[in-house]
Amino acid sequence: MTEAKSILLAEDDRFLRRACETKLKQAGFDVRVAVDGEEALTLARAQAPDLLLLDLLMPRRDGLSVLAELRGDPATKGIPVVIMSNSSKDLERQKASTLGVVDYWIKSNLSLQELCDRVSQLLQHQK
Amino acid sequence: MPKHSGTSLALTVREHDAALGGLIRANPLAILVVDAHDRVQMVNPAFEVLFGFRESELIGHPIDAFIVPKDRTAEAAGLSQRGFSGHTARSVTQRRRKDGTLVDIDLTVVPLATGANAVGAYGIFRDLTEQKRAERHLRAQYAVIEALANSATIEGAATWVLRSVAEALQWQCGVMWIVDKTANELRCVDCWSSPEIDAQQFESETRQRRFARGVGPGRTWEIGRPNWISDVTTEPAFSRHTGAVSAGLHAAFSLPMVLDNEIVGVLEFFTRSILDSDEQILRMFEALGRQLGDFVGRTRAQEQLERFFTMSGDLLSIAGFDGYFTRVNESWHRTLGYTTTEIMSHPVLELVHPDDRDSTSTMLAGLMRGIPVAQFENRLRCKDGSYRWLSWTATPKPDEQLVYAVAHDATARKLLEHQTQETLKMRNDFVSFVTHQLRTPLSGIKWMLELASDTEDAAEKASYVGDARESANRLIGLVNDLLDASRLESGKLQVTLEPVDLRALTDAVLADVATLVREKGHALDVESEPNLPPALLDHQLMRQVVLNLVSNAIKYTPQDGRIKITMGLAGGALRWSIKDSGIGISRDAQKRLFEKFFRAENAYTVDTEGTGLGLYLVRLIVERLGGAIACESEEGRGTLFYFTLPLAAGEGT
Repeated sequence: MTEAKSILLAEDDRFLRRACETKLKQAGFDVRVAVDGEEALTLARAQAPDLLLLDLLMPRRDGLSVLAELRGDPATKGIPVVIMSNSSKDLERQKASTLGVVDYWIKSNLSLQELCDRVSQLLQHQK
Repeated sequence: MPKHSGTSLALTVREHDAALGGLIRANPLAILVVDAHDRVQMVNPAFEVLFGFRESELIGHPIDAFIVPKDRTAEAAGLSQRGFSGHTARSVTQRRRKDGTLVDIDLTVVPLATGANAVGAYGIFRDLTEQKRAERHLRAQYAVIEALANSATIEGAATWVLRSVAEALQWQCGVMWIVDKTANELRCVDCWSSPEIDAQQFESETRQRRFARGVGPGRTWEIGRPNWISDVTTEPAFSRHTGAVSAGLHAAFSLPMVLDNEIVGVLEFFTRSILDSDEQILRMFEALGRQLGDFVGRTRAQEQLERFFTMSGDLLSIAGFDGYFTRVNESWHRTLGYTTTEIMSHPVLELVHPDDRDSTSTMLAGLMRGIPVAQFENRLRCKDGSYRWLSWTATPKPDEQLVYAVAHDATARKLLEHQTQETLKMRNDFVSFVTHQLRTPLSGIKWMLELASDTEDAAEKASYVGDARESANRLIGLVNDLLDASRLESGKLQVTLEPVDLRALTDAVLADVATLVREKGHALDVESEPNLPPALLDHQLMRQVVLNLVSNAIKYTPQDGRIKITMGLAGGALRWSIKDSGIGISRDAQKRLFEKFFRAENAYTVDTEGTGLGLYLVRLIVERLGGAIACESEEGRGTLFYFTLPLAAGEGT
């Protein structure tokens, strides 16, 4: 088996963070977590993950701002990002899509298993 | 020059006429034959009819004495002389009838010659009465048309109309009556009388009078046809008898002023003569009645339009292609505050809001190319400097170089539209926010339960279930807060007022949070004035307020902080305050602290789970209980929250 794919999970809600982290680790991914936008940016810059699961509404720096920062830096520009939010605002979807995201998921509509399967699928397609 | 006796000449003339088959006698023209001394030799029957003299009255007498008016004797002599000297002469002049009246005639004098000698003359008279009358009537028609064209109202035209008609008829007095629909009677508009008569009394009698339908001129109103009275002084039904007698008026006729099928007024004319009904006059002036009726109708329609123009709540205007208003109605003043003169002395564009000038110029350019405007909105500056939205409809008249425009004040609608949009946006924001806030704990519950069901490890399972329960509690708390906020906002929350000991309530809350305080190592003091009177409060709601403020103080004060609660009286009210040594609140955040869903930026660093409803609810409750809440804070140094509440009745100091 090759080296585990690395995932950076940016989620401010501690329950959701714990649940996601647990499930993804169980699935064998290398998971790092950030509790707010600033931390997500720091961690992503320190080591680019294979996938960034990015919440939108977070303290200190919101998800869209993190995404914009990453896209503006050649080192982090290529990080695949999936927005994981509970907000269904069209405007946020639009902004995220403009900045370039792989997908936009509504957390409450997914089970952990579905979430995990989707992540696996995405990372499998990555060469 | 041989002299013939009158008789012999007369005989000769008669024989001559007989020989010509009665050319003179049977002639429809009035013909007279005189000898060289102007003595009448013969007149034909037409002459008798025209002048009222029998031939036998005239034979042998100089004609001058009978038919020539005094001021025309020289002229008549001159004409005869030309005849006697062998020349034909002609004159349009007047002669006198037997009854003294003058008659307009066209007179031709032809020499009567035997051999080379003139022995007398023929006078041939053509009656010009009809022609003259027709001319006068025509002149009257023109005068009436001119009077109406130069007047805006029937009142303004009345004198000229009456005078023109009376003079054309050679009558001496005229009166105009208008139907007053409200009073259902005739009202005198004007009375004109010739300077030849003294009609002072008649005029004043007339001007004061009102006539009901069927009475006096009201008779004409009733029957709708002209009416003739040969002599008003002998007519028992004629009520202005005294005046008529003193002015010497006798014959009268009246005619209706007709608009479509409606009688809108009556004209009356009087003359000094006693005259029988003259069909010709009545026919002649029937048209005048319709003409005046139409005029009344037109001015009435004009007045009606004028009234609409004045009373319209919309801004009506006529503007020239030069960009200036030429006419505006009162609404302009009412809406924008300028006087009519002020509005008309500035180009329209000057009043337009700078942001609307380009679109307005484009619209105006279109109008000048003949394109009407159905829907255009712009803002115009009022005299007080404010702006109002106007919604325009305009039609250009390129041949007049004018634009007819109606503008409606759309300011209120625009404001409402804006408010509706704001409300919709706020509602959308609210729904989005609440959706997000509900989904987060729901996801927590869902995922924690999923993890719990996937594991066999009992301790792990219990931990996941514990987190699921905590998420559920957060969800319930959120739903309850939303419901409370909604009820407080709509005023539907039931409030049970009872005397509440605020000190005891505070102590009970502090007992509940004692563990939390201990965990964070805070030093907590409570200070209150002794014998604090009770306040009239809702216990449950008050508890929520105190709990919220205490929880916030504990939460937003870093480890080992200081919290102090103080209770006392201030200005006849209860004052409760809580001061902490916490992270504080920025100046900007303080302004919005009590707004729904607002959370200070630095609050996130401590707790990401807040809903932004806590302080909002605190404010709603305090205000609902008749109090007020405020906050003083410095970022990084701590925060002071304090509220005041009214004392229970009879507990004031």
